Amino acid sequence: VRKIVVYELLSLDGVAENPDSFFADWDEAMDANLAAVIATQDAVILGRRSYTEWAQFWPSSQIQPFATFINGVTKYVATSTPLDRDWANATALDGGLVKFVRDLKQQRGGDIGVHASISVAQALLAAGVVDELRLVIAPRIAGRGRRLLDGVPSIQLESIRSEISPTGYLLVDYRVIHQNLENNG
Amino acid sequence: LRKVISLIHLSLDGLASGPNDELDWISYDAELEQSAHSLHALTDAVIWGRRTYEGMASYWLTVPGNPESTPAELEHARYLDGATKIVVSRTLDQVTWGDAQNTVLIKDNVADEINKIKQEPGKDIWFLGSPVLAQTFMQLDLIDEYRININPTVMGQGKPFFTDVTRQFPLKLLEAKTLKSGVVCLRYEPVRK
Repeated sequence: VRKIVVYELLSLDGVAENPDSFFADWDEAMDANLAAVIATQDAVILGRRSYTEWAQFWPSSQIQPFATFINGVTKYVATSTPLDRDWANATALDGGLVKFVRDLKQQRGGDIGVHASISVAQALLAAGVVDELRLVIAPRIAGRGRRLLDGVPSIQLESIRSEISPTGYLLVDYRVIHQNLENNG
Repeated sequence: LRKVISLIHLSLDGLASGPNDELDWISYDAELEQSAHSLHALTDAVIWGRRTYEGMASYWLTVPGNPESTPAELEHARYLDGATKIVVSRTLDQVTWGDAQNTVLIKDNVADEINKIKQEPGKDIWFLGSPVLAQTFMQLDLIDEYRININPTVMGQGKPFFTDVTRQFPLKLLEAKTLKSGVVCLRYEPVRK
């Protein structure tokens, strides 16, 4: 079955908003990590805000391998208004986000990525449809900004990897342990 | 200079305890206990807030007389007896620990008092405070090493460790180790210019 994989850049205090302000370095281990994350993905879910920012930035970017990936991949945007930017392979997703992602998961294909898009990640975590959390944690207290896991309900995780990059960033991957909600006795 | 080392167990969403101070979500096992108790050799003083002090006194003073106590608990009780117990509280008038004399009460001028203690001879100092006291210490830049044990759980609700820290500051990651339980033990030090 294809997996829903949330990939996020965080500060140690859990802030996901505007990571450019606390990611001072980007090294080869972080590059290799991102390359491995996107290698298995053939669809990406984006929130409206990330879409609007990224549609202006990535089409002309040469930052590889992410530019080629994100420009080429099928992108579904969680939005209630029509997409107003011209970005290849981006479409507004039909209906509710959670139902859309559940349906998408049943179709054939590779993994489905969630990149940036804090609200989308939170909604999918809350709905229990996320399979993996892959985090890059900066050695910095950001002090302010939206936190990825604020407002998310209790979730059980299994840690599947942790590694330090040469510049001191923590690469840590978790598998979400899905509770069997049907099994109420 | 003596270092103040903060040790904290957090959920992945940065919470230090549940909404009613629950700590039962911490994946505490022999491996984690051993990792925490490595501070016994490095430190000879502890810093607590009032509530932590009261909780510690009500439990650890009973451990030596309790036949059910484990060797690791007895070791920790002995460590606490020998350590200087520094308590930060505006409301307490005195700090006692059985018959021991090695207690210090800090009522105000926290930064000055802690910096004075750091100049004194001795080993490093183990900070174990409530999130509120930890935030005060972080804002005042009094912590010299952060030991953060991230548990593989999102709690959703509880007491956040970092919330009221509004100062942005860089850290250096010294060590990351994943235990069998999935707890990731991290060691950071602040990078001071």
